Amino acid sequence: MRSAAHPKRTILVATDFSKPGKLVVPYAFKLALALNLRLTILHVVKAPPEFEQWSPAAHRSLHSLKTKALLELGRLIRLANENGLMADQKLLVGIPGDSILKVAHRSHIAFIVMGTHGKTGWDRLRLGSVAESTLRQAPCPVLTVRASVPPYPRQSAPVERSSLSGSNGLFCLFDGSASDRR
Amino acid sequence: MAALRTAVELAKRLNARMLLVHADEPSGSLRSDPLRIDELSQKRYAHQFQKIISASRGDEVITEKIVITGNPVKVILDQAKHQKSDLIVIGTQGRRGMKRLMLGSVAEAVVRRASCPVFTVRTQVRDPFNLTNGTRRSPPGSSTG
Repeated sequence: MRSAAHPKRTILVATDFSKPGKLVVPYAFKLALALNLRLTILHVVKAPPEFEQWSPAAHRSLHSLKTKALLELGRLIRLANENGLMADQKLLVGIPGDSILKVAHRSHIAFIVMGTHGKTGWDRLRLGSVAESTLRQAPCPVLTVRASVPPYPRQSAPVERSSLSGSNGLFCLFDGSASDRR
Repeated sequence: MAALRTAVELAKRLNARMLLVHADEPSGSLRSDPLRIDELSQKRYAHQFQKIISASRGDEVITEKIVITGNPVKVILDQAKHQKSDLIVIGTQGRRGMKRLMLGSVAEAVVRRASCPVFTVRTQVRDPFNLTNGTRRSPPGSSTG
């Protein structure tokens, strides 16, 4: 699906294939349909920089991780194509936060969609959060979906476009101080 | 403001209804007089709301405007739950380093605790409202993907 003849604006879906990581996929599809955007599905294999050159064993272990990730990516791409969306896959090795930001800096990325575990308190300090660091430094808007958010009904994504307009509203929060700065 | 324009763009594309919320902590002597706060803030923000709404060209999607005094994070989360909202769009200033530690961030707390997806728009992002590829996608099935 690398038919990027002309650069089109793209949603960057960053996923780690965990539960919250996968939860964002239907949301991303929905938005891509409504906004007429392409999808780039990104997975970052977590490893120290230059890890591949360390030793043959490191290379091998990374290789198996990459293969697994590629399979998962392929599955998502297929799902996207079934929903009538154009999707690219991207597999990077490195530190997740940094790699996501690097991709996000390309000009055709409209916004980032990613899941977050939404940990608070002690867990938050211990684990840190990829989503958070992305959120703070991203050059574009970021949509985060928390693990506890009820999953979006997948089958209805293409059909019920107006389901969002029913009883539920899009909710805009206006941060007064933010406007003062402009 | 970037957040608002982004939200308008999204709402139009998603056929969604939009609810504009402003929350603020009361300051100084007003703290002891909640009724007066409400009255004052309603008055004060009505005009401002009108201004930003017309600037964002969102008149037709914004159905409700709410001003509440209180802890912003709590107000936002309460409203989101109460209105069963599908999406929160929130602006953030994206402070870093020392300032971040000192000030904390409403947006961050909302991201961490919201029960629905949160669309965070930083004030300094590059063309935040340029979200689409222009035309609406043809209905799925006819498109080849």
